[in-house]
Amino acid sequence: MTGTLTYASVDGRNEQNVRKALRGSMFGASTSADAVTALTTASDEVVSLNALPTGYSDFGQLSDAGIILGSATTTQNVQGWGRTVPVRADITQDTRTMQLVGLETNKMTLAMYFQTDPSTITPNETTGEVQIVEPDTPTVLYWRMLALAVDQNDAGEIYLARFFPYCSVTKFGNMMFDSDKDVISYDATLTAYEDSTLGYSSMFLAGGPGWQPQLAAMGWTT
Amino acid sequence: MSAQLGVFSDPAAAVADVLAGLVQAIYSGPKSLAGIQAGVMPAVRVSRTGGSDDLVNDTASLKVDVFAPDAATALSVARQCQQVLLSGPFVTGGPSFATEDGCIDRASTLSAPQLATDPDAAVTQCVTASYRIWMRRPSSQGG
Repeated sequence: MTGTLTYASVDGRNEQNVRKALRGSMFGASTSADAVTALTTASDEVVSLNALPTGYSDFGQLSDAGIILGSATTTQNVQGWGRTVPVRADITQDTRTMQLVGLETNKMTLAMYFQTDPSTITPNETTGEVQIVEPDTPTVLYWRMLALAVDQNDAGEIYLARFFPYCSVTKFGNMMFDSDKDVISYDATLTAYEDSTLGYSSMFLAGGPGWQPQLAAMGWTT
Repeated sequence: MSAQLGVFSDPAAAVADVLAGLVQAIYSGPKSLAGIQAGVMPAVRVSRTGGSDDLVNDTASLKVDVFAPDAATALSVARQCQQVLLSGPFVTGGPSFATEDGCIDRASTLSAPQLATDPDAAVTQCVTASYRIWMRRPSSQGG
């Protein structure tokens, strides 16, 4: 017979580990740009956000839904004779997607929505007019994407991010030209593929000055 | 680890802290009109009017009243308060914003600034607005 154990003595809940994506951005670049390898850097024990590699641009203000990061899996179960539960299950597909609705009309949102290399979208020198001819046969434009969410605590900013080194738009939402309160927006869903050089399709990153002091509370030995 | 959750910060005090740079006189909680008139103008009074909470968030409804000798000044200050609040988040010791009263994750306008007094009357003018804010406990609380 051991001593009396109550839930309070094993309770590991810690609300300071609850994160919110208070703000954030989606950054995109062509696949020729360098991969994102680290979110943060430390100098004199002060952690700060790294500059992004050359070529990454912000898609601007997104809708209040932010970025919806999806992972759709298909599982194949192996049933055993006389058993009601699977004896094993194998994930046979894992499709990672990211959906965003750009509220700004800018070079990046236009490039994403019309599948056009942003470097080729050039305003008319005299009038500033922009034209993008949509091909009858859809083209596929591949991107590197960094979805960055920012939270904060007393120690400073906390960054949580997903980096997708090779992805393309696989679904488009409607573009609304109406006089309702909706803005003209750019709704796209991208699907991530494995980058053959980097060897992965998605990387999760987290850091920041507010993250580091939480490491022990989150379960790491520091 | 906490068997008992920490205390939520006072949302009125947190908002008053955020707005402190706009006016010299800012009050959170009960403050009589006579007391406000005896102090520096324009003045801002922040008070909680309702709201709810869950394990993580305190979702508070707040009234922000701006008092000034004339309606134009009161309206101007009230609209500045609105824009500051909407530009959050705010956090204690954060690099961009600071409040000593916890994290304000977000604010939205429930009722935009509107004049509550007769602009022609020879009285202290008041512009009132209401907001909903979402707050989490400061790191020093709970956990």
